[in-house]
Amino acid sequence: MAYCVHCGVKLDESIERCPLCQTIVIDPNEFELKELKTKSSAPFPTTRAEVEESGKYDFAILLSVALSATAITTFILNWLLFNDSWWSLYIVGICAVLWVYIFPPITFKKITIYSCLLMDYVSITLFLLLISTQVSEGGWFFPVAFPITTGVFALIDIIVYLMKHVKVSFLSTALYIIISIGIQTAIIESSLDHYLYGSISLSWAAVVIAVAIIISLTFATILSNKKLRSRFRRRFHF
Amino acid sequence: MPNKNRHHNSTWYKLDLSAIVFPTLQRRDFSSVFRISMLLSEDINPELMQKAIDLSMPRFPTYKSAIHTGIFWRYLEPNNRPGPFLKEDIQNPCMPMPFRSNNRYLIRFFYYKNRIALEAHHSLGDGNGAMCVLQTVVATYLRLLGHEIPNEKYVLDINAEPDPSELEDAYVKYGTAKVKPKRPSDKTFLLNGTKDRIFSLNIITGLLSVKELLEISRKNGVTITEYLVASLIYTINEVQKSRDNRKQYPVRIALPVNLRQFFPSLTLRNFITMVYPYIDPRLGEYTFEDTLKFVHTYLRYSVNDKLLCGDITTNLATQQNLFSRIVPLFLKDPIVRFFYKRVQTKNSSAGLTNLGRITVPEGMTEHIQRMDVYMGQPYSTRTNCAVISYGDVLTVNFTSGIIETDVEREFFRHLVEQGLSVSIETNRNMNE
Repeated sequence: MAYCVHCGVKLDESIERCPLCQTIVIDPNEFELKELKTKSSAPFPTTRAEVEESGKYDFAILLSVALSATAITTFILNWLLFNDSWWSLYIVGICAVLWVYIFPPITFKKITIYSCLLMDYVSITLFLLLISTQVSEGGWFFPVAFPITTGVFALIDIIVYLMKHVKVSFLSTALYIIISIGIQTAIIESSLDHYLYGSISLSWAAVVIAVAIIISLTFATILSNKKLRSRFRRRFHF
Repeated sequence: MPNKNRHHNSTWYKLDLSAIVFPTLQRRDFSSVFRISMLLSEDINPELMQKAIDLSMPRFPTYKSAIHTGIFWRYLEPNNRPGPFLKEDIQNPCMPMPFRSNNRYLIRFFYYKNRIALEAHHSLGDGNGAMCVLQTVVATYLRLLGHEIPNEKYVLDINAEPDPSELEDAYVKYGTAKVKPKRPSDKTFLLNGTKDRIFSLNIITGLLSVKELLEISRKNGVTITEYLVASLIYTINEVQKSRDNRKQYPVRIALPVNLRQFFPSLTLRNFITMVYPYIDPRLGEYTFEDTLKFVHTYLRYSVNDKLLCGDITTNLATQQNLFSRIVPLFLKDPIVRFFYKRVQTKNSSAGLTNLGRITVPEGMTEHIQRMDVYMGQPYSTRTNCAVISYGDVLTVNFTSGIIETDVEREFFRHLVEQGLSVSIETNRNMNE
């Protein structure tokens, strides 16, 4: 049996490098016999396994079939029988949105959250565009729906980025969300005001923004002060 | 205790206090699965071993069960599907157990040359219960080979009906303190590392002599457990110092305590609680002797029936709280996961479980060379340690899902420096 010259531990004869410090094992007495050692003396098996998946793929297939069937049958009904208006497009659209929301995260292991959010954004935007063309020749889509949807998804992307790469704690997550709510209410009221009245003047959104600023400053102060943070954690732990 | 539905005459079991958490936490890189194994004196005959499993499993109804989802809690029901089947062992044990796969069994049996291993989901029971199952299976196997093995110690009579006390939730029976002591919480040094690929479990096994370890422990006036816990704490603190000398945090170990020593129970289900021995390097420089003294004092103070009863009561109060009980499972699950990720995993730097010195009936001694226990993938990117001894061989098994081996290296080097002889085995492919 060989020893690791750095760690001082005895090593199983099947090991060629010390698992603790990766030093190569050289036992001069066994140097000539090394090629006779076979893998069958290894204390652990070498075959790897993976656990069978829990049925997520089956669910994904079931979902795809159910949504496709719903979309196709309603479209055919609309086209052939109840064809006073293109009502089935709403159903086809919502089925497509649901499929985009659920199918890729379940099925693709390596998909990033940003890709999922992008696909969700595109699907929702297209669905809103579809609704706007059906309802009123698309008048409200670009001034109202597009900026609001873009604002929501941009803020979600920023929050996800901050949680992954900057700080993540209960307080910091709450801070990001409060700031996002403030910004988003400004976007919503600005878009609506501009569409309805041709000018922007914040009213109810200003109240929300003021509250968001107060709460955000409070949270930011707590986060930046170690003693305050520790006291907050102690009093509010659950 | 089993619950019998009078109309349909079917038995089912509530999950015990520890078990309710594990199914919620399971994910692709955290399995809530542990493994115990025995090295026999001869290579295993798989057909006979399968027969031994088939004969023994009905004696353990809570292990021959499947988990089901209710509106408020999960529960166990007897599983009459074929199995569990003995399989050839794999390089990466303790993989997650999807509840609908493997014929819905939450146990697995593996063999490799002369090793027989049992993997069990922690919702079924703890190491003590699983040891009963494994020893009974091995005893049945040895009997099929023609040896006489009496039913004593961990070996149960497979022809007898299960004792109701083996199926009880002992936490409910003994959670009788009149106060619920609060648990102190403080920031803890958290180990981190580079995650290995999915479903990996990197094992480094250290083999020591019980005699040598006992001698050195007694010389220091501590028990073997205290010595190993102190060694691990000291090692992790050294790793902390080597990473960043400016920011130092307490080093805390999660140490499960077998409550059966203090509260008599025959239960084969979970009956453990955690204590957290620690040192705080912000108070000063800790030598190994200082660490030993601190851990020894802490464990002598904490591990007694009064404080442990208080701990059980505190845990039980969370489960028996009216709000916890009426919130549906689909809301409880994300809350439990959130709490566990934000709080529980940050409570300790690493875990160390010690099943202690295992004995077997007279007729089995000559057929068993060694035992091992492995904790499954840790919830966070750290390493866990499991200790068991049989005869003069004590095995220390480090398991992790990370590539780095800082803790293991420093731990075993420390033991060698203390004068102990250590042999190392690993499942890592050192040629990559």
